[in-house]
Amino acid sequence: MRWSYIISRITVLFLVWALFFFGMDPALRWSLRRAGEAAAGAKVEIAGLKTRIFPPSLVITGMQVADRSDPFKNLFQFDSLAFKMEGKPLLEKKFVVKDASLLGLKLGTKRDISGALHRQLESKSFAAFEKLKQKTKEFSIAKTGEAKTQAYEQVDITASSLETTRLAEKIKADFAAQSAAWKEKTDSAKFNERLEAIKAGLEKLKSQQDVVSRVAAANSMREDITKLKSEIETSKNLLDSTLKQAGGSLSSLEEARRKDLEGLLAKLKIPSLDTRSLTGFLLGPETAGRVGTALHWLEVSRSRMSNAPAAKAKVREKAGTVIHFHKEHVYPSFLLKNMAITGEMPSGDGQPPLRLEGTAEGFTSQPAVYGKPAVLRLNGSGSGRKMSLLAELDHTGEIPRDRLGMSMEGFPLRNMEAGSDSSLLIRTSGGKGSVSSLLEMRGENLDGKISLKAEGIRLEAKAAEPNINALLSKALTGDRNVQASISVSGTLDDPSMSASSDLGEILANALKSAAGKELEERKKEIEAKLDAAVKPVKDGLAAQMKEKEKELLDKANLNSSKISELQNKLLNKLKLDKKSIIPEGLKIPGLKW
Amino acid sequence: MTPLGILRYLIKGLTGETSPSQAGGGLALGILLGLIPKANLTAQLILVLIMSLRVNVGIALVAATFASLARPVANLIADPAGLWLLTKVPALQPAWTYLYNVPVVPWTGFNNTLVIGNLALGLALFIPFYVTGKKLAVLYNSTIKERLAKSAFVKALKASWLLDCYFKYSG
Repeated sequence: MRWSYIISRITVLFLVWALFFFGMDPALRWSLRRAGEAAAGAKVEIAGLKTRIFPPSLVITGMQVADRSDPFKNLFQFDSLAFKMEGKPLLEKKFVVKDASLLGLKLGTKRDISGALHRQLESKSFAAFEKLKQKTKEFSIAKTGEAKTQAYEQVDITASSLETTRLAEKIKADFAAQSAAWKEKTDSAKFNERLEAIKAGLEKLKSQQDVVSRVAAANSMREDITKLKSEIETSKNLLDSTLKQAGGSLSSLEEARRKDLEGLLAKLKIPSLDTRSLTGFLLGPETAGRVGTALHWLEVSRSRMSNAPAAKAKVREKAGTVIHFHKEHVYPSFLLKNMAITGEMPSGDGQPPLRLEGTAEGFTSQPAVYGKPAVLRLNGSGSGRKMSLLAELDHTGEIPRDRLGMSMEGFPLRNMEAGSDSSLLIRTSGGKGSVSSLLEMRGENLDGKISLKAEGIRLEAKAAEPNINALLSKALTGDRNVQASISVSGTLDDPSMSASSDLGEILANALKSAAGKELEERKKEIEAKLDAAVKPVKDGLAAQMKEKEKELLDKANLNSSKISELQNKLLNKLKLDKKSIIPEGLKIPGLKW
Repeated sequence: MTPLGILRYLIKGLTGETSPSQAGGGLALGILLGLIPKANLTAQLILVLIMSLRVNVGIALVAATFASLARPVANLIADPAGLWLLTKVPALQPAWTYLYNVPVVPWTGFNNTLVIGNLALGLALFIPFYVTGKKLAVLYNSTIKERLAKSAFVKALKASWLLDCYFKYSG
């Protein structure tokens, strides 16, 4: 055998091995950076990455993830992240991290270079909450001068242009469909047929001479009647709940009317001056941005930690689908059993940063295989301040459930701003604040509450109009305590937020006295026009619902009385028969009257 | 030995197998290697196989490069074919389950629809490519090789060290 034959082949194999050996870390680093950027929608930097085969481990150093909403800030960064993997699962191509440590975690640090990316991030939550953010920003205030000159008579207040009308039409159509379905159920020939059959059976019973077969037939009829009666009762209950639901949806018209009014007032640049709108304007954009970011990360976790078909379909396009077969002691493809976290959070007021400590457990690519929810805990305290974060991601079942709770106490509220300088801006100085929030996402449904509390803060208002400015300054003098609460509901595609606070009330009162009667009169005029446009639709819907309700209830009661009548007839018949046929005290085995 | 000498020595080793069956084997194995995604043990084993067998490695590596370029098109057939093999053939289920339970075997990526699909596609094309490669080699050796060697274009190229050493050692 020629040596050139052997050596050349060994050389090629060696080159391939060298490519893997030396190229794996840079390739992994590049892939991690790309995956991170795709998830964060902002730049991700990794200073170093080192893998080792014996013992199997991975160390990432100097990672920074920029904040999409504030490109000159990092969402988080850390000094090092080290994974130690279990050897046995590796033989099965499963990456089980038994111990990991995240050191030097820092939240919200400044960046020298912008972390913005040119490409657009595809995120349902970002898109939905950005829309919500813009909506809350639309609130126009203190432009009374413009309001006076607006030709509000020309604004379109026809029924077809209003959300209230659209919603009323939808409720009408839904109710019509539901009542038609119910009517079909009760009117069905099958029900009448069964009723007639029972009647006929009752007639036949009179002519039957044999006691045993008469009792048996009566028993069978009794069962039929009981069954039919229970079906009628179930249908009646269903009708009740349908009617209650319809009544409830009528109240949602009020919310639509409020939104229509707000929209019209915004078009005419007339401030609505109610507490909810003002609080929404001041706190809405910031809150919507933060909630959007939090939900985006939950969305990311779902795509990486879910067995949903959509996630599989995405994998199919690029790298094929991995099919898992039966195994007795199965490991998930990736599992982070336990990770210790240490780090800090900047205080921003000259105080030392808050020391953070936490753990991350059960983060896996196959939650259904692992069977436990992933939990992230992060706590910090120091210098009279406290911070805690708890994220519980349960993707083990068919419907994923995520909970994100966060609380912060004793944080300085210096130089914080709310609102916009084009209409109304509120600036804080001094005082301390606390926030507690709980956000839940069950499937696509959202439910959340955020409570804000500020103690001993000084507020400074800046409005576009000087007379309003003076009145607001007067209303906001001195140190005060402020409370606010924000609720999040709806779905990931269509979220909604409502806010209330005592600050909103103070501002609303001050603005009302500043804007005077004129704005109130204009608002009332618009309200009257809106009500006039909506009234025929609302009245029509209410009348139709009332009429249908009566018709359906009558029908339900009629069916109920028909079947009760039959039942009574049968019982009477059985009583008479029993007296005439069976002597008192005699028991016949197997016979049940 | 100079670096150029080492390179010539290596190329000689890789292109030495020039019989029609060695060329056909190189082409068929190269196509198989090119079709399979590379980040798994299956691709590495095929590479080792190419290096261990007496096939034309040069042809195999060129064929693998071209087949890799054609992989996005091949995936259109391989992905559904792989899914069918892994999930829709009851007779194969015990074998897949057994392999899944054997340590190290999951690194072959046999349970990935693209790996198994492309492996099946490459194996199905193995004989046709082997026969084609063999016929092309016969045709090349009998007619084209001499004419090509005598052409002005190749004569000019022969001045370059790479082709020079190819013609020198390819017999």
